[in-house]
Amino acid sequence: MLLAQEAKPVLGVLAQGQVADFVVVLLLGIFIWVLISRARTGRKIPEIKKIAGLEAVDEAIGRATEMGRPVDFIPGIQSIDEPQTLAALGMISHVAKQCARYDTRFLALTCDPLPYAVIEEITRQAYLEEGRPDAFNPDDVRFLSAEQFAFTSSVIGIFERERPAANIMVGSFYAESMILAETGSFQGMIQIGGTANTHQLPFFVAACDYALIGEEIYAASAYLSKEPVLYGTVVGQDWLKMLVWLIILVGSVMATVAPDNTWLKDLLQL
Amino acid sequence: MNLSTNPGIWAQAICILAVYTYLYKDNPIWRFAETTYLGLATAYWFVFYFHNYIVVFVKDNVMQNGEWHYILAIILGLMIFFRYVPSLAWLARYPMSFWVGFGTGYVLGFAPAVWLTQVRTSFIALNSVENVLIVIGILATLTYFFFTIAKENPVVGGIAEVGKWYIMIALGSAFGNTVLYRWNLFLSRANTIIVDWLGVTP
Repeated sequence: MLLAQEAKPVLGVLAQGQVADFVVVLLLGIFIWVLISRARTGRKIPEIKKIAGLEAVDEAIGRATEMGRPVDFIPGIQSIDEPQTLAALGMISHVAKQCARYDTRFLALTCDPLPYAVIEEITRQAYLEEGRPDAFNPDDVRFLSAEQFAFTSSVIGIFERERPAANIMVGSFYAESMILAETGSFQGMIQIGGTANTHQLPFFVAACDYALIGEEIYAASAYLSKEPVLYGTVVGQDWLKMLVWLIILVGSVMATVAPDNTWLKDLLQL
Repeated sequence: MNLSTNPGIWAQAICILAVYTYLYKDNPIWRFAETTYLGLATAYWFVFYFHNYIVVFVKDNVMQNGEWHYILAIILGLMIFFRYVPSLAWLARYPMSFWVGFGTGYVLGFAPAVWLTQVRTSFIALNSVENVLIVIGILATLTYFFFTIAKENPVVGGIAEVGKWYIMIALGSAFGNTVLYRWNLFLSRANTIIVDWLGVTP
């Protein structure tokens, strides 16, 4: 008869099967801390390579400025606890600042009340930092609806009536992605779409002028702000990706030449 | 043809046609459909949240079961309305930062388990063409997302280019799949109009 053995917590706190998870998070934290410290003390850290979709953000704002039409930003349809929404918030500050600088109307359209409140704060701050607090219009940051397709239909209405020249969609998108991107494309907007939801990426690639694929949206705020401290977080993530790359290569070679030797696999499920 | 007498089917059919008028151009019928939908959705979710969260927490959890700690959540939730009082607007940042902190902690706590499983299952024996292609795809795609290694480096650039091809093939496949699904949705709406509403039977 087999008796279930009670799993003992590791070091008294970590459940069995979560040690590797903890080590990974710790390692990522150390990488980021080291790189941020280096950046803060003025030492050199690696540069981020050119990302076409992010290079195009200023181009899109410039085009909207020339045409005298608004720039709109949609931070996905999920709440503020979603990492992709947080990545979008990092971009909004830059876009709002550029719009304030060039006196271009900035529209932010949200599907969740929490990002709405945060975006209003970020936008207000961006206008203040650019010395244009008077130009900030709270009515241009809008919460439309928490219902996915009511939000979508409302955005289409705004596209029709307010005719933005540039449409930036970065965040967590679902079935509305194609409808929004297609409407924007139909109206001749310059469009930048980015999401880490792989099932929606094809639509942004097909209908937007520039697409930010997956991870690229997480590098956005560092890339746009050119802030060395933020660069540190991206470089830290990169180091972890390189380590994972190496682990997969070693794991595959081991699975080929010594299939019975599973120590690496076991290590990752500690 | 046997026109439906069901008011629900009539409402569905009118709404579908009103939305489809947008295919011609922006027009008052479409705007009516858009604003009606927006208003209905707002009212629906307000009532839904009121009965499923506010009433449940206040009446059942706090008043009936005496779970007073829920009051903290209610207070935190109400603090967001301080944003309408300029002198106390800073208080509205607390519920927001709490929620951001929760989200970040949750992701850091649970995401590694998901992708460490992906890493483990990527240890594939290189003993068939299919397996070799899978491992090359994983490594090349991962290389595409290295942000700090210059793609000018011919080795890294070449591997990243292979990764880009893998990504595009995957996205193309997903696109085709979803186009078929959307076509299916359209057929379903057409079925509502032609069969359920107009009563035309094939």
